[in-house]
Amino acid sequence: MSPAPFLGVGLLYQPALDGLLSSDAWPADYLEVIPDTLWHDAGRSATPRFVVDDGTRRLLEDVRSRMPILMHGIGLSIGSADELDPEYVDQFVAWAEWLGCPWTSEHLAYCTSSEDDTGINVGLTLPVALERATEEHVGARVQEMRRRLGRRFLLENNVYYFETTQEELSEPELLNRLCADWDGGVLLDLHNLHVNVRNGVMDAATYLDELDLTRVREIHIAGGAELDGFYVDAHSGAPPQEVWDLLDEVAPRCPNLGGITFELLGSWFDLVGETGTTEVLDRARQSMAVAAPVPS
Amino acid sequence: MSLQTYQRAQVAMVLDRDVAHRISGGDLGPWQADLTPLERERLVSQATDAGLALSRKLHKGWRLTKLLTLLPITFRVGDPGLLSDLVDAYWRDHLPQGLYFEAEAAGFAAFVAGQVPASTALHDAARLEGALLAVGQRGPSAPSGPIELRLAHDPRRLLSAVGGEALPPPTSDDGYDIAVSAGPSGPRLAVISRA
Repeated sequence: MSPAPFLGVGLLYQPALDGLLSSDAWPADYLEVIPDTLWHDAGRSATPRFVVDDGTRRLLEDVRSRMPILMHGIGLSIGSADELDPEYVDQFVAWAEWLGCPWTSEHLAYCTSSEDDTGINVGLTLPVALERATEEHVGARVQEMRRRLGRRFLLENNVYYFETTQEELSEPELLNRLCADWDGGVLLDLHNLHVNVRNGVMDAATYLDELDLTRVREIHIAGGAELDGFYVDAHSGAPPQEVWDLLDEVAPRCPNLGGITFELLGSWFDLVGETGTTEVLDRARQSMAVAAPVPS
Repeated sequence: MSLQTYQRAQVAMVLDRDVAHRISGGDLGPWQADLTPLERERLVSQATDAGLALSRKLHKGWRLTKLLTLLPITFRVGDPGLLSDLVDAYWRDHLPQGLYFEAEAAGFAAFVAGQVPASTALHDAARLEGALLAVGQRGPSAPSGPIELRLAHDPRRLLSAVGGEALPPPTSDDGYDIAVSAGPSGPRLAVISRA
């Protein structure tokens, strides 16, 4: 695996960040964007199908002249049994090229299905079964995305709110196979891992020991909330202490780590504030410094 | 296509509590024949998993937030209990089709307008916001020209509920005739002259 470009710490774009993004106080080394929220998809029968407002285009042109941009997709639905949407893939690839993304990422999950030729999108990262058949199914898609993109394509570990019985593999085993045999990479979401630990789904130390950490290019950190007896991945604040502990432990063990991204929903930005956001990134930078490759 | 059927059934359980309830009792309905024994076992187990109910709540919260954001006047002037019932009724017949909810919100607005008396502010709010959303749509569903509305309630008062700025003056004593059209910086309202 070739060394990752070392980007530093980043923020996931939300419109609430516009003021900070254009100011001298911008605290991050790169910006991560969810492209699906920045273009408008008018649907499969529409021409043009993907429309980008002039303001959004100008914003991204300005940002890419100042810092790297990463793309983190939510619409590919790589684990879906339905065919991947070829026009969506074309759009994703074109944007990665336009924005010059060092790498791109998606979720080890599915969010779309169909019924009577009607597409359905549940807006959740529903779990794929952790088994060999999934490796074949998702792996071929990872390989194709990698080929089309001409750059690294990472999969993010998922949250598991309900169980799939009698699975053959653990999630780290499946991710390791997707990396080793299908040329994938890993976006290690430490808050997702923490969610799964808090909900009694897995053990963090076992998970991190099983995962091939040389494949981790990027780490996500975030905060969450309690709901109905579960701890959920709400992106609703600064990371809890347990996530910082995980970050401090795992970052030095990831030799190809290129970036740590803080995910915060725009509706919670006022609660965390500019100062709080900067503090989160400064704290992440400390962990990153321990993990950073030493210049030769 | 066993995986496709499995995912269809799983998605159906996330969307609809009644489907999950049926599956929890072993009734896999139209999916039964296409599933492997292991897939059936997994679905039946998931049907009673509290995490599946949580996923349903997360999904509905996500979908409802989009409606609240896109139809602020409708949800401001309408009775919350009535609107909750209308949302449930609308969702029973309409699947969530994408990440973009303008079309769903416009459809829900039309549904609301068709369900409540024409004399109510909710009726006019839904029609007005439905038109505002419709002219902003792109693609084949976009209207080719302005949408004309006759409202019983002053659109200035409806729009003021959300801080609207483009306020047309009243047009007559028995109603308000307005045209909603797409402008370069968003939807525009104009008074229709009947002279």
